[in-house]
Amino acid sequence: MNKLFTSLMNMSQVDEYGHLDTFIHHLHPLVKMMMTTMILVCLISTKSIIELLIYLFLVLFITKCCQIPIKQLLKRGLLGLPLCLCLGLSYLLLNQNKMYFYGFYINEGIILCLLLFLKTFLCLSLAYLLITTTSFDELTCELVFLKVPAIFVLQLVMTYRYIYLLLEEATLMARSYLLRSPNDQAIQMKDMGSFVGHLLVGSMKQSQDIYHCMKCRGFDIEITYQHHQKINSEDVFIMMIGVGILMMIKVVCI
Amino acid sequence: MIEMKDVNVIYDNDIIALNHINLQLDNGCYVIIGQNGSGKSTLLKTLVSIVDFSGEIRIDGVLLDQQHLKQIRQKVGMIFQNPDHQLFMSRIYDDIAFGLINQKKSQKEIELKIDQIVKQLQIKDLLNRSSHQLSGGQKRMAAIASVLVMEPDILLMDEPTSFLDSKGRRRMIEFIQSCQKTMLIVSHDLDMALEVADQIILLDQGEIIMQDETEKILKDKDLLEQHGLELPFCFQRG
Repeated sequence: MNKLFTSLMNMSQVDEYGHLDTFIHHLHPLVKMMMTTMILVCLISTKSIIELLIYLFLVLFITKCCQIPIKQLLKRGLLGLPLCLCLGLSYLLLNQNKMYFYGFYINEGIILCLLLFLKTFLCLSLAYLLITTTSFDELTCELVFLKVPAIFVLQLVMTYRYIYLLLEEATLMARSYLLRSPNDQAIQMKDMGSFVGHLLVGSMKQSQDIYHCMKCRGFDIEITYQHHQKINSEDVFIMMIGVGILMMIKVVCI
Repeated sequence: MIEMKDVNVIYDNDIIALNHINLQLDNGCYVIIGQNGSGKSTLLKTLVSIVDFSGEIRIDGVLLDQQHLKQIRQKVGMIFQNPDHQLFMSRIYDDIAFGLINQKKSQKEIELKIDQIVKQLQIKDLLNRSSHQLSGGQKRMAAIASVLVMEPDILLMDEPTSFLDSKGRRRMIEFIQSCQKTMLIVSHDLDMALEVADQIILLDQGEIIMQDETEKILKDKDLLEQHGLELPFCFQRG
């Protein structure tokens, strides 16, 4: 129960980070989105561990500059670890080929497993960095500006609102369940079906109510999120530097 | 002015929520009372076309249909029963600005209007906070600000005194009394109704039982008991 409440608090913490006052927070949202996409493409397309370690250093450096606690980044970045572990173990067990790695012959599976860990961690960390340095509304404005179909942006907006509702509803229901079953530490499996069912139906209804509230106040995805800011020359300059750094990393690692 | 002619609302499960409603409301404050499930909230939702209805509704002469829906939603502001549904942005400031952005106001105008409304409702300290950090009463005031800032001509309020402590309730009553707008309020709080309403509309099983002067209805013990209500506390004491 407390875990649910903590996740809810953490979610609002992400929003709070979005309003911090640092140089990276003041960068144009579109620049941040493009840079994130470029780094993602670069790191996904590489097979070099050294290159990935450079990206890791870059991500940690940016995190420090944004005044976001590294601990929070690690927590989010390691979320994908369980899934990675399953795939990584299969590499370790199934791929027994030896390969030359900086003067040593080691199992190819180990390298692939390591690549997978690093790539997953970096992808999640970058996504976390983007949402903690840019408020959700700014991101939505840029998506509308980039002519992403309104229906997709609306889905994204409503999903974002829905997550809060789902967590809030789940926290309330779990509290009420545990208060009436003092001998249990958690919700019993036999009750889980109806618990989840009620949770989904309840939060769906609430999200519908929220959508009605938004509509009553004139919500229209293309009007509400039309406040695209113009990119100034400083932002373009910073982006050029970013592109330069990425190219340099690629050249050095090749 | 609000006009409803032969308005019916039937929910998917064949429950008749509103049954042949005919209503004509001029300027003033109207409180709709009735027991749970009598159709009070549905009546409010019908006026902003949140629920499907048959019949005819006109707001200031404008027919409520798909074509005029935007125009009517600018005229009519609705404050929902649960303020949590109304506060969905990351900060209260963004929540209050939400409606103004949709009205395509300039940034300068938005800031000016927000400044005015927060001063009027004394909630300036809440602007940079998230709705998760607020008490029920603070959320309620923020939800009211988010609607009032759009300057609607008609205000619909669903249970405005719920979630409020006695001090908050008193502030709400004073706010309603000072508000120079046509207001339609749904409430179980008959003592509040006595203080604020020009007229009372009594609803039961989706039908309007009576619409009359406030004291005339609220002093009628038999009528109230017949429809699952009690006399206001001040009349119970004699």
